[in-house]
Amino acid sequence: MHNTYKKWILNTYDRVKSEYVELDKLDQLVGDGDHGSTILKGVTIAKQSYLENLNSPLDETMATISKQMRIEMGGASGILMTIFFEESGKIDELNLTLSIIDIFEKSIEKIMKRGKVKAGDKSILDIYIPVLNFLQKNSDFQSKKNEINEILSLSLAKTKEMEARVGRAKFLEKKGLGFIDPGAKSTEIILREYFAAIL
Amino acid sequence: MKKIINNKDRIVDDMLSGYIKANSDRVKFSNNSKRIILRSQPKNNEKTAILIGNGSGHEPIAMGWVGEGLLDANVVGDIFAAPSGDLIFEGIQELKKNSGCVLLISNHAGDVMNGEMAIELAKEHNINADLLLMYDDIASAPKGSEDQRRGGAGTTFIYKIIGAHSEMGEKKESLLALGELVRDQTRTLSIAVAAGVSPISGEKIFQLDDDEVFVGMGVHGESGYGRQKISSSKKIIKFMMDKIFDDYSYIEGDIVIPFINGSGATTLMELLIVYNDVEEYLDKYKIKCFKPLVNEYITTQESAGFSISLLNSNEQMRDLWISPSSAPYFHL
Repeated sequence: MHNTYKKWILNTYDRVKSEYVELDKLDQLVGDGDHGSTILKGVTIAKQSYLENLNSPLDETMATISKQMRIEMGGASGILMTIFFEESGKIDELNLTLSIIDIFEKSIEKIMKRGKVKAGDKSILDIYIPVLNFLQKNSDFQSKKNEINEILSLSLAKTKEMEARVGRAKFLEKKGLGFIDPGAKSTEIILREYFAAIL
Repeated sequence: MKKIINNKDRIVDDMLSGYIKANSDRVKFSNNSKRIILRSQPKNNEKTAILIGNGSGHEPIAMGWVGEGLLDANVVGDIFAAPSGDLIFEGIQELKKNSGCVLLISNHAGDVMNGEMAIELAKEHNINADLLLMYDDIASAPKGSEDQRRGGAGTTFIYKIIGAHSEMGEKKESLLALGELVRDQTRTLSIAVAAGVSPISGEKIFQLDDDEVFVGMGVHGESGYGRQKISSSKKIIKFMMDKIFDDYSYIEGDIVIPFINGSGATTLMELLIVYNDVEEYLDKYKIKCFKPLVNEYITTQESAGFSISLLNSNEQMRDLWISPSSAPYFHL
């Protein structure tokens, strides 16, 4: 599983590296304009730390890189976006389907609790929840990578029509209406690369 | 972007390094992190320690308020981003020998999440620490939903008053209670006149026309009561003070501590004109002013604008407000 996760982390880094300027521009419209740079800091340390911790058990490696990403990124995005990285370390090769569902369930539960956020608030949850719903309804999801990717794209597009009820965007005059949520966009990248690696 | 910096990625580190060098008689870095500012001479362990974690880009707050009679530590995040809960917890660990610890957190999403995480870690390690959430900005949530409001410049009253109280040996519970009372009796309203530039994106933080002001805008460009054409100080102050008076019931004879905070690029000349009009407004209602603070303390780069904060005070608060402090950037 280490090689699979290594592929996930390295490919995520490459994607973020090529898209972070666009993400910053998106965040200039609804935040303080640095979400892309913040995510890039996070995945840069993730890549470096992953390569240094290849010999540890996967759950320990992911707990370590999650903490390092959190420290490097700071803010709300640091604490919320690294939850999935930590939970993902609990994947079980012998029980792949159920363990992936469990990773999503636990991540969502922790994000809701820590961020005091719920579905439809225009946040990263609006990506995680539709994915979890699909995984729960399709026990054969391991053969449905394309459908998962479609859900990711569709869920991201839907955040455009949401008014923000959390974070800085909720205080903007138009509450971010008309723009996709920058955190949802980076989450979509992370999850797309995750499924590309593990399925 | 026209800013005198070296490297975008090192802005905060370079700034903190300069701050410590310039004030080495009073503050120092933690041995474990150059994002944690401590007093050079820590207070007696029997006393409760006070610290805050916050994003940078708003100087001199909060690093400038570490010193005797004020804060024991400041955990500094990146620009406009709260430090991680892990780092705030490291700050708390620096103070674990004290009899108790109060973590101040200004009510902004990232600050609260990371502050709560730090307190959970402290409790897991049997450290006697609690969080005091600070909010005061009346434009950010309606009356009745005070705990949803953002932390603004009026949080200064909490820093100073419980900082001074802790110096007298008061226990954590008593500090928390006094801090909550100060919070509940404080109201703040701000106005933006011109946008500052984010050192990270190089772009203006919000958009305002040359003849516009925005009443109630938060320090990061968050919305409030809306845009209006710029007018005289007296008209602007009347509009703002009417809003504050709608929100809080003052009565004749109240003694308020006013704080007029500049946002970074508002001249002292303008801030003093504003203060003059604020005091005149209060005078009409026979409300007295006690030792006001008028200057730029909580800034957002070169943003122009100001906020009015009023603490409806009692004698204890007033005594603590004027008690001495050695913090490098707090001057009454």
